[in-house]
Amino acid sequence: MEVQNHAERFDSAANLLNVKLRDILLGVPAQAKRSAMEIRIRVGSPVAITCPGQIWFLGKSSDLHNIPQNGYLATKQDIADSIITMCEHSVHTHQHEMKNGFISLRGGHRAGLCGSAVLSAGEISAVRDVTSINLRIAREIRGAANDLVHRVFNRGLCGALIAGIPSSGKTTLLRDLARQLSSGKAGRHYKVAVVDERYEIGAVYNGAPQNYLGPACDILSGYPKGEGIITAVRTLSPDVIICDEIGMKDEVDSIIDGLNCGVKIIASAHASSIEELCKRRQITRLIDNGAFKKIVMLGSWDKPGQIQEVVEVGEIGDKAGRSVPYNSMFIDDGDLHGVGTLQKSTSY
Amino acid sequence: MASGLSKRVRAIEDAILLIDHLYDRLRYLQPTVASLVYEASGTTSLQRCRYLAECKLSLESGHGFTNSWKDAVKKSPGSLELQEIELISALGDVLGSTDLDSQLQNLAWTREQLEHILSDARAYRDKHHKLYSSLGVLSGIAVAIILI
Repeated sequence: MEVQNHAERFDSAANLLNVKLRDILLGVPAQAKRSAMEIRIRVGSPVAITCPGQIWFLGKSSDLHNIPQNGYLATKQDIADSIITMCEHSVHTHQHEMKNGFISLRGGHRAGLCGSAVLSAGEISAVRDVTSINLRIAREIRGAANDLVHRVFNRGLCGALIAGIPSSGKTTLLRDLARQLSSGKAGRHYKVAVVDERYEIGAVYNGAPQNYLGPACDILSGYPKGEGIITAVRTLSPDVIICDEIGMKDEVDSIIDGLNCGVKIIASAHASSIEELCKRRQITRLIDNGAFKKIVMLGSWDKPGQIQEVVEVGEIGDKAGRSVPYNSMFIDDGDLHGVGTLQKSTSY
Repeated sequence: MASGLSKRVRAIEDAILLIDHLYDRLRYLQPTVASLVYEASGTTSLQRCRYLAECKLSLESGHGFTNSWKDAVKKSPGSLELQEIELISALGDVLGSTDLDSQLQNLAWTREQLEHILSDARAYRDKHHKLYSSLGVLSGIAVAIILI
């Protein structure tokens, strides 16, 4: 599979927008295209391109400015047309995603939508009057997980949680990690099952993955994570399940069920520190149940994908100021065997 | 004239078959409208719906679905008449632009309307078929007599 360079990825994302925005964005200097992470479109505001450590505002002639003046002001029509184009004139195919505030796009890109929620029986049934789009440009960086593989999986597979703030490179790392594990870069070829709820890791489009995840990888696309994990365990006999952005109760329940089947879990979660991570009830449930042996904290958003620290689960009590003796649990390589109720002396 | 009546009936039957096809595919797989058209245009039983191939060509050349569909139905209606052309053409405003349930409801409604038109067209055909056939034969005989 041919790997697109970053400028090509930028162009492929720009091509998903309406004609006016597309034409301006395609003219952006190649240097900016290469480092661009997001294209932000807000009604009445200049179109912005987010690069590591810098936001550029787009001019009408594709010129970039670091102040939001003389920029191209996106219109309501730009946003409405772009949504139709991004959905390939088939809104129904993205109905469920739009309800959750995003659209998965061809090429592995993702558009976050911001608008007014339409409620039906107390639940969000649609989003109308979209006022802004955050078009996140998919990046496939081969080798992004080299350091991760070396530091975390050098002694074989174990459960791991990759945590970081938004845009810190969690998905990019997971994508390359899936590829490396299934390609035998971590000692042997592992059977990897990727639960790609938001089409960001494998970015399957029309039945073909847009990102190469190696020869021993199965991708469950569009599955809610909880159901995807259960399906993977039941039908794919994976060595490891990889999924992005965990945190909901049903996802955690499924992961815990998966653990009891001897499958390793590698997942990501939003958090800026171990302390923050330990304040998230569902994450601590996973840690308490021995889902992860190691926790990988990523650096700031201007250095995406860079590992800040790798923490052994047994050390978390010290890091997070908890007195939970994690290392007293019966954990073997991230698997939990016959652990009873964990007694904690702290609450979080 | 007689064969024209039969062709119209067949064209409406084909359109109903197409709507059933679109309904089933949409409900089961929720494909994009482009995939829907590509797949339907390659289906043997729908080959007589020429507007499908026309729409496919237009989509392939980068045009949006709504205009591609409407233009195709108007450009290659086959033996359909204005009433049914308008109904089928209007699907261009519906397919892909609303949620799934609304699209399915609209397809079901269009099918129902076409069924009514089909029933009228069949009755009209049965009533006038013999008349037009007889008129054709008589006209032939008259021409032959004049020539002799």
